[in-house]
Amino acid sequence: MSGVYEAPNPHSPPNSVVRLALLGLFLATGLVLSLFELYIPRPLPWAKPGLANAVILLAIYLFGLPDALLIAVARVVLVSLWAGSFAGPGFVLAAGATLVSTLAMYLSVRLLAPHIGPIGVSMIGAFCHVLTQIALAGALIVGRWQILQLLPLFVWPAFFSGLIVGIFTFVTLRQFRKRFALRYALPDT
Amino acid sequence: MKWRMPEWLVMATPVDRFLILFFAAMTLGSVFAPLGSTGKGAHFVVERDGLIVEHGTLFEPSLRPVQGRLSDMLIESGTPGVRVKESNCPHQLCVRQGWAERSGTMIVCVPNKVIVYVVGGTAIPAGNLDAITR
Repeated sequence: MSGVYEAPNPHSPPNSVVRLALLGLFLATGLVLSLFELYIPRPLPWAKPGLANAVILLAIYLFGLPDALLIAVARVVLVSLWAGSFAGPGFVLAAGATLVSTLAMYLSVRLLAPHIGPIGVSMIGAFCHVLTQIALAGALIVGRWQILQLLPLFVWPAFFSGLIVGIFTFVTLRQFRKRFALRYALPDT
Repeated sequence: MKWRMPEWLVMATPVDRFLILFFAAMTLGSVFAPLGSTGKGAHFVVERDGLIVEHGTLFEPSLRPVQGRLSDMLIESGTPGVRVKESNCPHQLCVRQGWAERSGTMIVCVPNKVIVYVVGGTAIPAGNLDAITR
């Protein structure tokens, strides 16, 4: 760090100061979105819009897996502390699902990057989230595979949530691309 | 007026579009294809924490209270099948699952650790009748 102000450069990744600031901003945004989702009225009470997932996807594109995992874990822990569900069964489901969907999104970006856009990645993330949650609930709480019959109730909201989060992330990333080099290329449109 | 593709669909790559279609198909398919269920069932079983706490026939109506882990529940059964009529769990997922009537289908209430499922009643396979019919 030179101490000299460097103007943002679309050909270089964010420097360490910008990275730290952006990570804090992403975590704060993710927290606000999650807490907001806790309190808005929901027509389907078991389904949340999952907007905070956009923040994890942004972190993957900008900083890669370790920072995205950091944000994901910190967000899950802080939200559960706020909601009073820390270390309960709901927390295990939420944390497991967040970890698996973060890993799945990272892998799909890493392997398919210019051919897959944030929309596809976020759809994969949303479905992995839902499937992990049901599988964990089946394995840890109910102990029966028949809980998969609940799938239709969860898959519907995941579809729309994945789509909306993906569109939002794409629009945001196109703005970020004007200032920083992204780790993984966006599809050119 | 000419229909124009929404911008997000224009931005999507072929892989994105394939994924959107794939998951849309999965969503629709999961609604129309109930997993692992066969014909109409004859009996229902209520389990809590893996132990059977209640069971009965679907041929006559009944209304039974079951003590869940978190709250009391009311299980209604009859010719339409079996359902959780009332429960005080937060999301009411078990109530919203409605009637289960086909053999093998199951209603799950995760907070109460209660599962309700339908058994029996499927057509008897030919040549597999029991001793009395012989």
